[in-house]
Amino acid sequence: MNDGNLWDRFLSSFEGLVQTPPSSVKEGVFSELDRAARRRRRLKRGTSLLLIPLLFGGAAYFISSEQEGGNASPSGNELAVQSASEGESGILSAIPSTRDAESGPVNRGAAERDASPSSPRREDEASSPEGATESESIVQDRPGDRSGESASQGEDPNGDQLAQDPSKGERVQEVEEKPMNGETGPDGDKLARMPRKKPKNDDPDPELASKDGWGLDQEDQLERFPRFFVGGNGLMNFTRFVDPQTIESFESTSLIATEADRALDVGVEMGVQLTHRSALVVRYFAKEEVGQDYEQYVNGRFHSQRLRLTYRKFDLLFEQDVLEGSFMGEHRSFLSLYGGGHYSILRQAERSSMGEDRMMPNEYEPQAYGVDAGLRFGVGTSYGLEAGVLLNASMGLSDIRQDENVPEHLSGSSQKTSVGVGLSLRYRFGQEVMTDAR
Amino acid sequence: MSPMQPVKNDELTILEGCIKGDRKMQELLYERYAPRMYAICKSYADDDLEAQDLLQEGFIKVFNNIRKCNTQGSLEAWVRTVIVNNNIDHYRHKNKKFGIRETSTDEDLNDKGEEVENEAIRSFQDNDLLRVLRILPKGYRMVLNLYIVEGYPHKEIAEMLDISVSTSKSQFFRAKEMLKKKLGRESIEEYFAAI
Repeated sequence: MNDGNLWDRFLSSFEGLVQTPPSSVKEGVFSELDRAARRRRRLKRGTSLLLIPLLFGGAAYFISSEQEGGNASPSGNELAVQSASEGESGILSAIPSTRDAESGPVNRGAAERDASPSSPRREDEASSPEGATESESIVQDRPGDRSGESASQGEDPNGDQLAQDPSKGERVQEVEEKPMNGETGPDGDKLARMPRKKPKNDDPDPELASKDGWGLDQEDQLERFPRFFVGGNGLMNFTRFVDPQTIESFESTSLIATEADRALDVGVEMGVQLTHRSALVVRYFAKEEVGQDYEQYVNGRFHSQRLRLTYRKFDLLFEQDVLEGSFMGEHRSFLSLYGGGHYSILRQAERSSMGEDRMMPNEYEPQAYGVDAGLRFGVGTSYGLEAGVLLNASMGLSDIRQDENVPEHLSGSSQKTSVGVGLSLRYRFGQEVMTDAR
Repeated sequence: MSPMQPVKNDELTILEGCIKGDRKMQELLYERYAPRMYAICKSYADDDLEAQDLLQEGFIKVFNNIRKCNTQGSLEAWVRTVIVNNNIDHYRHKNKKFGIRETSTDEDLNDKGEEVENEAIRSFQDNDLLRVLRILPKGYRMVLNLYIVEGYPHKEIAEMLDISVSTSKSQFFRAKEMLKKKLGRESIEEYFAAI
């Protein structure tokens, strides 16, 4: 028998070979599949929780940007255009056409004098300071046209209703005549030194147009965001576990009693100010303690035990101002709402029972996630500092227990929850001294 | 190795159920192919415990990657490919970790091989083909399995095991000679004649 036939027969006999594996292999395969499925579910939930504040933040940022962009236009551009167009009509009605070159500057000047009931030019010329700029002279010479302050106060010695909002300034269309510096008319009045300019609807004052209702330059606004801030906070939390024993303890006939635990958590935060009123914040707590006391009546005796878990906690939150005001008349105050998700890493799991402390990290999941929400009332101070009072609520969404020996439908799930109050302090980079606005 | 055939209707049903995560279909797939795959894992492993580990890891990979199964081929062939690839990965990992020499020699039998050889001879007398393979050193056994049983050419075997082509050929040659030498040619012929 040659080698070829030998190995062919070897192969054919091998192909039909079957061996029955032990049942432990099958159990191992499917328990691992269950674990993987649970991990995938947790990852999906955690990812969606983290996406919620980002989506919410993005939408709010977009909406806020749209609103601020819309608010800025009327206060700047539209008012400048409006006043310019109205000024134009007033000027044109008061002053005859100046396009008639034959009338010459003298006649034109006379026409202008005739149009105005008084001689504001004469008065203005007397009052105009030497070396005044062209634009200032224009503003002063035009009948009914006053500087921003006087006009805004309603002063109009000529009773002229032409200038609707001279505080924004108006440019008058430049007339064809050339300025006659020093040239006097037949009445000895000096003619207009400077050409008049007609307000153009499509060319408002860029300086005015760029400012919004808050008096902030739009360019400044754009430059101000995003702005970063850092800070810290401390929370006094009341914590509980939401598990079958806790739920049962709230029943009047229950033989189980539970009591919330208290913990002080201190953390740091950093964030980015997206708009005046919205921000994205990341918080980190090196120590997040969650605990609860249990008392169970067993065999005629009460057995008490305390469970305390310590985590590292990362929060991703979106913050939005809902109310604004002023504090003591000087500083900006605000009330903001925030919401988002958190991710926690287990550091320590301790159970105290019958006077003994026992560490049991293997009975609890190494990771947990959940949602956070709260209120923040803050006051902006000088130098970019901001102090605030927090009201925070946190709820876990993942099951913190890890006991493979007990089926989940028997042991039930357990989530960590807490409610707390605290203080926060932030410093905003790039904040000007004078303003408390975000 | 069985020729490639399109996935049959019942196999398609099992495949679709496993993709959806139907536990019944997953168990059905396991029950159907685990005995055959366990035999394959035993031919690669040094002992039954290692074979059970290989089988468990292999089937976990099968279920995790079931979506990648090509319905143009046989489901059993795809499962077998995953199992064999897992065995090869295990061997490569062990090779790196424990520094197993690329080429095995007859001296390897002196450590554990002699005991295995005696056991294999006794097993051989009991017509246990799998134990016959265990008289071979790990490297020889890997090449023999991949070349004879799985039908891979030496070039591919060399890439899988991270060895040279000449090493693959020489190990296969030595595996054959060792089997014939240790067990006796007549014994092998009698064995195959009895099957």
